[in-house]
Amino acid sequence: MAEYFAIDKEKITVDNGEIKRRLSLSRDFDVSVFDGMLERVLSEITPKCCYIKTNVSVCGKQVDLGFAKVESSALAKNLSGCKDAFVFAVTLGHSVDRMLSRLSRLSPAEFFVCDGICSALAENVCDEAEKVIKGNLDCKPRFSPGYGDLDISVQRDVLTSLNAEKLLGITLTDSNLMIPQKSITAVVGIRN
Amino acid sequence: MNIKNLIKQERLYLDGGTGTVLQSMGLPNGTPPEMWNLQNPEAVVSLHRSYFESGSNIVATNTFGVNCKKYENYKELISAAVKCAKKAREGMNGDRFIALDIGPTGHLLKPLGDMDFEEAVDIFSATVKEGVKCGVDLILIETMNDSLETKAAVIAAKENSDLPIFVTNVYDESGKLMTGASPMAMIALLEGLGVDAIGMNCSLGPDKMIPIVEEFAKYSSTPIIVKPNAGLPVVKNGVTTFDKSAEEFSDICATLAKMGAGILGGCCGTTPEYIKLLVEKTRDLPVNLPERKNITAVSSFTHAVVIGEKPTLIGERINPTGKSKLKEALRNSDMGYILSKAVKQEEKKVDILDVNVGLPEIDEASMMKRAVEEIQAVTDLPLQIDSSNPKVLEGAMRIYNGKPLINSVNGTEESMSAVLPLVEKYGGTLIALTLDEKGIPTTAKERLAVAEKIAERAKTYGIEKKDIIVDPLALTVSSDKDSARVTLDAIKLLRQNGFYTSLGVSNISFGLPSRETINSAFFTMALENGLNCAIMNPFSKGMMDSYYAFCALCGMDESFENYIGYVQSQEAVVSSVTDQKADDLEGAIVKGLREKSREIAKKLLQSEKPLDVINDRIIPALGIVGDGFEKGKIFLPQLLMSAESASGAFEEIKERMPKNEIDTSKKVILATVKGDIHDIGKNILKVLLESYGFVVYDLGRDVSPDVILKEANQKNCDLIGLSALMTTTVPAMEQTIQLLRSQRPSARVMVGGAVLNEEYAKMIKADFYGKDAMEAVKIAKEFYNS
Repeated sequence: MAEYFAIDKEKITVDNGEIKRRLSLSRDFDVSVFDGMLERVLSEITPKCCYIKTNVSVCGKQVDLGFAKVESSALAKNLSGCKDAFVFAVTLGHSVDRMLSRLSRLSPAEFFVCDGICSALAENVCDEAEKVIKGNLDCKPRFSPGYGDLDISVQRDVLTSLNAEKLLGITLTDSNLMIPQKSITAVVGIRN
Repeated sequence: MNIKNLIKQERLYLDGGTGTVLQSMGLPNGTPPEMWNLQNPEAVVSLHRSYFESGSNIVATNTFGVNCKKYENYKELISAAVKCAKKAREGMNGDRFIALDIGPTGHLLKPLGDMDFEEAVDIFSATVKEGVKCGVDLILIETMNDSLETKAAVIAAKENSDLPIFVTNVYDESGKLMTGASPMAMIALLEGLGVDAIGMNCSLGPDKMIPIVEEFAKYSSTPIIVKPNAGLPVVKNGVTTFDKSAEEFSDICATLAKMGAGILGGCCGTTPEYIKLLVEKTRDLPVNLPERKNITAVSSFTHAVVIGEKPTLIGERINPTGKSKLKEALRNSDMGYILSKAVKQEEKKVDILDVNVGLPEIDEASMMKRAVEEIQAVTDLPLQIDSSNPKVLEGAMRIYNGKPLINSVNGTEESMSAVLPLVEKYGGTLIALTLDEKGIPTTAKERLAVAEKIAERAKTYGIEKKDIIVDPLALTVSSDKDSARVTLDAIKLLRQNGFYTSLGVSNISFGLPSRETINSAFFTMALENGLNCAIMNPFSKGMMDSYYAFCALCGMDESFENYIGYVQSQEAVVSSVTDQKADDLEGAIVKGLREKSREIAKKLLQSEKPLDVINDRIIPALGIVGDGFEKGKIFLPQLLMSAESASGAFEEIKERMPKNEIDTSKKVILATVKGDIHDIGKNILKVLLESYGFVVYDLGRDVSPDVILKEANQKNCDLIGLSALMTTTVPAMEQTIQLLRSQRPSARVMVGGAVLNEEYAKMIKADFYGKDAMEAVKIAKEFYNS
């Protein structure tokens, strides 16, 4: 039921500001020193996405996402006025996790930079995926499990409803972390 | 008839899609198919029956998603599933079998995920035990997209049943498994484990499977299974359909059958109609089963290395004999040092890495397991598991991700009866030493005889000659002037008698001066006599010169690409070393140039005292960097690079400092707490602390409180740093602190991590809170100064 598509690497816009934020760098830092690392990361990622459209309803703090009911004032606020929403997952893939696993053992410095770049890229891949999913529809900003008071425990239901294990290879650890680690799920409310 | 015999003579048919068909029968979206074993068994019986009637020889029980971790009532579900399949089989004639369907657990194994290998084996074992009890005919392990999890399932099947084992993996569009394995790597792994049929299912339609079946036909000696999807999924208005009709599907499957696939079925989107047409179109095709291939190979989790005419290099540097730094690293469980040795050899383009951690004063078995896991997390080179202790071999062979090279077995009864069963169970290519109870034979003929004795015995364990590589032993010429001649003759004789050969080349020169000169010449002579594998030092210029020259001269290096590349890289190294200014250590550290710092420190230590280099050059440089960081002029990446450079220089110094001058009193234990696998912050702190001369015991991530307590007691260390990145794991931090308070009251705990703040730290009763790594370093310094 969930639709799946691979994301065109050429279409991903790398946001240097996001990279700087992740690496605790000042705004005027010249990130071109990391070009080599960025290139390596771009060659390793296999960005893909899967998504569904679901009916949503909000009542006070209670949000019914169709496949799950959660209590979150922040999500309720984000989805207020929406009758349906897209729910999607993106991942950069397992190759990147292996690269990070290797770097974490060999060079904390390189690992730190690579990890920051990967996290920033995951957000950029999300941006591109959203564009494809939304099309011309006017939507609210994306909202992920773990934001505000939306408990991360809803992640399991999100991934099941997306069939993310089969389509993207995403599994959850016992403490609800997604593997591959550079994966993001989100709800995108469609404005009425 | 017996399935194992059937698949070697005839074409067999599996069933088609389960979930998709049950959904078309009314299974609600979101309800797992296995629930209907209890809630609607008639539908499941009907599903199996329609596949049997379409011509399937084998139906898989509706247990794909069932395991003891997911379902408390897993036994009930499996039993009901088998019952449905048996009911469907009633009255069917011909060869009809029921396969226990085992799918992935839904948890990725360490190191990428958080599940332990043994936990996975236990989960699969529970399923197998129940299936055997219920009376299935074979075990079908399917839709596995990770080689290590596949291995866990196969081991569980082998340990808990005698039934035939079929394995199919998921190959994606790139022709590999999700976690990287190529068809050759999977074939090596699975044939080593003695699986009865191997192949692929799901993800791809039959057309996309063609290139993968081609690979299997080329390399597999085992019957090949294909179970494609009905093409690619197309979602229209929330409904998924697949783009290949039954006609198209079966036509392409007929091609796959002609290519060598002997066990055919369908996966998602296929229905009984698909299977019916598949059977019709392939039933009369001549049976085309894979021939026995004579391939000698080892593999990692990504690729296989084939042993053949082109010599294979095995890097020997991870072996404590004669290496005091490595011995120290092993005693201190300093994985970082061992891993750097692995990576450096990889950079020299060896094909396989030898791993030997044999030191009497350590727990070799657990160190070998740890070393194999960690090395496989940083490199995808296949490994040679090297130990004289079968228990050590066993532990490592069990968890090795791939088909390993095993060093070694010899001709003694003790060795053969201990090592051969391990290879039968876990798979592997075996190095066989030509010595036995009578010692080392003095003639080539007698060494060949020992090899043949081992091969004969190995046959009784199902180990083929092609999986044995003979090492005729290179004994030093300094004690026996004929030993080189005998070894070379032995290599030649062994090759003439169908054995591949291996040598620890540098043993030939033990006791002589200028060993490299002798080693390099002997290496070339051995290669000329047919040596296939060399356990050698890839940093020895002489040996590498011999290797590249030999390959170039024997036509094994087309257009001399490797040779020229090698020679050019040698020239680059020379010019970079002469470029340095000897006195610029501070500059190198501030700029974060790791290799340069090392080289400069090495040069400086020829004229300056170690302590002076530390106090006059390294510490001030770190001061500049730390100061710049606090003022916001230098940022974390640069801080880290500088710290790593300082550490590099420090290591050079430690090597030259007399033992009693090295300060090992400032110790810190670091760990990311249980349930948490983030470790950036901890790793940053480790680098910084080491650059300031602290001894850091890094316990890694997801560490339970009792392990931390144990380490504190063992190392007598009272400063412990705990890191957590998730709010859900702060309680684990609290538990760790409580345990330390009650069992080791002298310990002091500093905590850090993105989720923490001063308030939380107080709440969980930590002694110190480090808002960032530099803060934590300050805390550590003050702790030891007071």
